[in-house]
Amino acid sequence: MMRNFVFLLFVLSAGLGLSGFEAARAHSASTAWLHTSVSNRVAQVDVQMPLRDLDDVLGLDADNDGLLTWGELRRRSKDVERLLRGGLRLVAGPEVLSWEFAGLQVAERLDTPCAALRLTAAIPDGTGPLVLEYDLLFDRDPLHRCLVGGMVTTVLSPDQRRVELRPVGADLATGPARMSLGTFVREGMHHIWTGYDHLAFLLVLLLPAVLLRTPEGWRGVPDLKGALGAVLKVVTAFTLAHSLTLGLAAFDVVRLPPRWVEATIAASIVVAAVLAWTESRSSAAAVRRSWMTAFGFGLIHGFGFAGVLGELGLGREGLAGPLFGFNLGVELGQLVCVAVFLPVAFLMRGTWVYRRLAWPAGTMIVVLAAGGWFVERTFDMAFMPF
Amino acid sequence: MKPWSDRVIAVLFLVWMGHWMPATSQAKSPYTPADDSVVVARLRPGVLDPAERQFRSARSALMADPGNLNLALEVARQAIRRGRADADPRMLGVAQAALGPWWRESVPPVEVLVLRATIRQSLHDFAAAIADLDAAVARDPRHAAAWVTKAVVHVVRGERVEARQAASHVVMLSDPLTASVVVALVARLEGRSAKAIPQLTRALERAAASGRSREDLRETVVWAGTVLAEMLADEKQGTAAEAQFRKALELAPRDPYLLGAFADFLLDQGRAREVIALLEDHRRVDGLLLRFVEAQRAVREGSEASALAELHGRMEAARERGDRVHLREEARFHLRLTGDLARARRLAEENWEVQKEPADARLLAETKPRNP
Repeated sequence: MMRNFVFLLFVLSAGLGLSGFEAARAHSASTAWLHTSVSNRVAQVDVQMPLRDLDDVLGLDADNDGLLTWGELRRRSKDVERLLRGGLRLVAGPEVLSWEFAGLQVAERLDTPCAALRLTAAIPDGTGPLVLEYDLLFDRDPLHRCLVGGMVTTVLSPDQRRVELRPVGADLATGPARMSLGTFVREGMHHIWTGYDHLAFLLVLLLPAVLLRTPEGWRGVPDLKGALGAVLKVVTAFTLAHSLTLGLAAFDVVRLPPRWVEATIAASIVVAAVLAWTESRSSAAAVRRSWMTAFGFGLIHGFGFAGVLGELGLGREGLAGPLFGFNLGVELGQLVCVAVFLPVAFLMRGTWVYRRLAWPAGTMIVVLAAGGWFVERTFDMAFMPF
Repeated sequence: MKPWSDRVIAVLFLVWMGHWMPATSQAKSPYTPADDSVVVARLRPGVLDPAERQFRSARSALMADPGNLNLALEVARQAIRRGRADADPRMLGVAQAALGPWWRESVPPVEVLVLRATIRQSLHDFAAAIADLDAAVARDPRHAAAWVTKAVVHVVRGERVEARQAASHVVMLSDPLTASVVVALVARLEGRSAKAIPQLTRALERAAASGRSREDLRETVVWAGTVLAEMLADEKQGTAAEAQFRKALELAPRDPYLLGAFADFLLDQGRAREVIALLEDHRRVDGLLLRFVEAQRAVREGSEASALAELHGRMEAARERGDRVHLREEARFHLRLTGDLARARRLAEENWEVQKEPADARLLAETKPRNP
């Protein structure tokens, strides 16, 4: 009988294995989501846990009718909290921090109804790095996964149950709240200088700024004033645009997926380069339109800056100062670059080297690099596991 | 700048934006329901039935006594069976959890080996599944179920020699219907569908004539009927294929694999409207949602955008989790729905490394760049 049963089972599983269609993938596998952030020395973890899993552990469906009502869930909120307290720990150095729970809510995650809870914990002074330890549901379902986002992006599994929350560029021991305005200014400058994509974008717009098309062919602009005007327009437009979207994103008014932003930034550089090249070549007047390009794509770059600011582990509270500092840093960094670029370009503008080599080759190199970034970022999206 | 290039760039940019949009709409913010009576989740189709009650108590008993091998095997089997019936991957996790104490052992009891192989192959960890099955049949060469599973995994992997060899054991050890299905699968793999069809048809008829109506036979009949229908469809015998699909559906109206196979058949016949009706209530299952959206696309009606976004979100989540079982569906998703052919091709090639069933071959062919 036993043998028979086993056998029969394999007939079933055989069908499963032969799936022209993935039975194993269907419905959805058990997945919890955690979003992590730190602000003013308070760590915040937003948890979304499928109600089906919670019911499996806690038996929430009191009347066993298969329908979980808000009342049934709400009355058991203490048990839900207890479960999370037991399975989710935030450790700072030797210390296990204690959680505060904001009220229980519900959320839909990809058609999967979830319990949504916000946990916060005060981070004491002088503690080491923050470590999040997660041990929920693995004993009941080893295929359960917890997708962590925010300060870090990772997948927690039975083989990896802890993750260090290390905000990029900020030392948690001092904490973002203690970070001076100067720190953020430096972060901003650092970002513009090391984030080659923003510089590349500016470069393709600035390269033609010292040139004019005349009936006799390409000539350098007659005086510095003309060049300065064009440069100023481009830089100001770029600044206004990215400040706007940086603000919107930082205050969570608009949220775009970071991968999309990163890939789009790369695409914007290619497009801007092509626009700048074709416009400059087709009419002198059109050069002036490059400030519009700078503004339009600057909007996208702002979201990219916001991503960096987010990595610093800031919440929305007290964001105005850091935001201002960071933006100031970006502008200063940008100005330094322009200050280096413009005199050189202006002096060289009349030369063959600039017109025939630096400008086209510079544009071409940037297009190639940005194309590479674009492929890489899109490729990432397609192949990296997380 | 010339206006046409303006337009080209604008269009390219919009396409590029549009390509990404589904990913942006998956997270909805948390809320507090207005009233205690609001249903926040449908956990099951209905009340707790006796079988479910029994399954739950077995699970609780096992939690209390995790080292009880017989109980663990019982829970694992039931979980796999349930997972199969509902296309519910959580049940695979439950089965794995039941086998927890033996899961990482290199030489667990034979029954554990065979169940572990079943779970692993369902997660598309085919190499590990084969290793387990080889170990199982080495210790118990007359373990029919192990040979059946082994034959099936080799078929999925496109390994003809091994598949045929395992099938010969199945023929000696199994009941005639199961043996016929396995032999037919091997024949299909070798491109001999036409010859295997009469043999499988006869086996099905004999099983029906034997009049046994036990649950186990029913499952085997559904499996055999589905395979036969697919082979008939391969051979362009549309009418006969449809009759087999419908017969099988009478026995198992919710069987996810069967529904998927029948939907594919209908889609190939340009009968998208029937697919929409067939799958309306099965959209929870990703593979069926995929076919549902394809059908919506074909008839150009319905709320395709939201279903598409949902599907995209589910695929992203699976990818983030590191799941490996969705490659075929993802390739098909890009081939037929997003139009990202380059990506579809990459995924189809990646998928081909893992499984080599006719559907995989077809996907690979359809994503190949066309020669002018």
